[in-house]
Amino acid sequence: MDEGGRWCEFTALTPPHLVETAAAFLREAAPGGIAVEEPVEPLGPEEGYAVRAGEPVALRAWLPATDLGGVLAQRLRESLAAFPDIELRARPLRERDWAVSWREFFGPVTVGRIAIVPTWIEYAPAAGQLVVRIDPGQAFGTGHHETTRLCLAALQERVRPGMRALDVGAGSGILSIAAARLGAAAVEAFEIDPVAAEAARAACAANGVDGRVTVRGAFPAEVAAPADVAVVNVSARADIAFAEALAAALRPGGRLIASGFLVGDRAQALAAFEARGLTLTGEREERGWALLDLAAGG
Amino acid sequence: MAKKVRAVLTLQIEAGKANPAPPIGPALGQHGANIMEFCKEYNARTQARAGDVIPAQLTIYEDRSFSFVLKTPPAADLLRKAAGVDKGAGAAKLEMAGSVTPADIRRIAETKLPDLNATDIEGAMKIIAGTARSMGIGIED
Repeated sequence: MDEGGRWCEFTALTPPHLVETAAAFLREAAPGGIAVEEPVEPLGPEEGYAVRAGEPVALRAWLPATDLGGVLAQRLRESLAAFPDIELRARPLRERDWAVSWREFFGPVTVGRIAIVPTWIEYAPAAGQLVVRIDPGQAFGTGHHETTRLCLAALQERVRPGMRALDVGAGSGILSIAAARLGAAAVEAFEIDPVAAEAARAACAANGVDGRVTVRGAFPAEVAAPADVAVVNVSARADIAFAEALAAALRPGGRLIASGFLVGDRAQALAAFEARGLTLTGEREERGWALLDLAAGG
Repeated sequence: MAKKVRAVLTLQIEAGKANPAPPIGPALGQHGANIMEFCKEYNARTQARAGDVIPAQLTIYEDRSFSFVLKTPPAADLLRKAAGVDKGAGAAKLEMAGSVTPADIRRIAETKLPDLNATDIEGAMKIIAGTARSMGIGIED
């Protein structure tokens, strides 16, 4: 296979106050642009991240492994030599390393009867298998996160043909489409982020379920009719905040699938749901992430 | 959806011209983010500002989905514009590439303040002045 052009990746580990300066030198060598990666500490789900203050920032530029690239690299080394606090590293890289590798990551994911497959992969489903086509992009829910997979597994137990379903925090629409594939007659999907909501609409259309899935804005909102099953996969804080509205949106005996939180937050989330009259009927875990399967009272 | 952050990176790239070549390809590729999806969206959002470097700050989540916001142009670009020069003098600093006024420094520092590692305008001005000097752009008295 063609491995594409050869490049050299330069990483300048730079103290925060010199970032603008180093960036200017890197851009002179690589006019096409550079990447600046902050040293971040990921916080919990939906809680973003913190920048590790004082730690070096990684500035990256890529130069072609050609004579011209060599000249530019030499100039870059000379410019940065004046800044002993900046550590410059270099490593060879081939085009194939990035052009193909990210797509390889997104191979099909199967959870029970459901297969999540990007549109660029030809896929022949096995007998009885349900295919959800999702291209990874600007909306959360690619099938590559534990909570998405936990919800996909739980939906297969709870969704029966003809049911009404709610999907709160729909992201890419992956769970709504899966619910429709499992036979749900009507799915209301709530997504506050307009970029994600648009992605979800497009994904529903691409999967041919846009007639059954309605993508709406923020939750809580009045639902069209009481739901047989609802899924909420956001975060402990959001799930708890939505608990009352979710309980109100379910028909008596309706089921709630709640995830998006870590095992450590399980008890707090469960308490919030139980306070709204829901009872625990089952639970799942994957790599530290939790899912609660609950039933509405009545 | 339970979004957990995997990486945060800023691309300094030219408005409307994103493509899968470096820096975008390798920068996103090594975190497994969808390169074409980003290019399409970035170009759509920045096409009206062709010619300027409009950095994009991406947040890549654990499942490789991402979001991004546009940032202020790099200090070096704003300095070159203020000094009326195409580029800095470069490494050797044998020649002065041009000069800016203290008012220019303050104005650029104000523009850049939200994106700089500085808590106040004085700190930001120091960073901008340092960048100017290292580029061979003088500051008039």
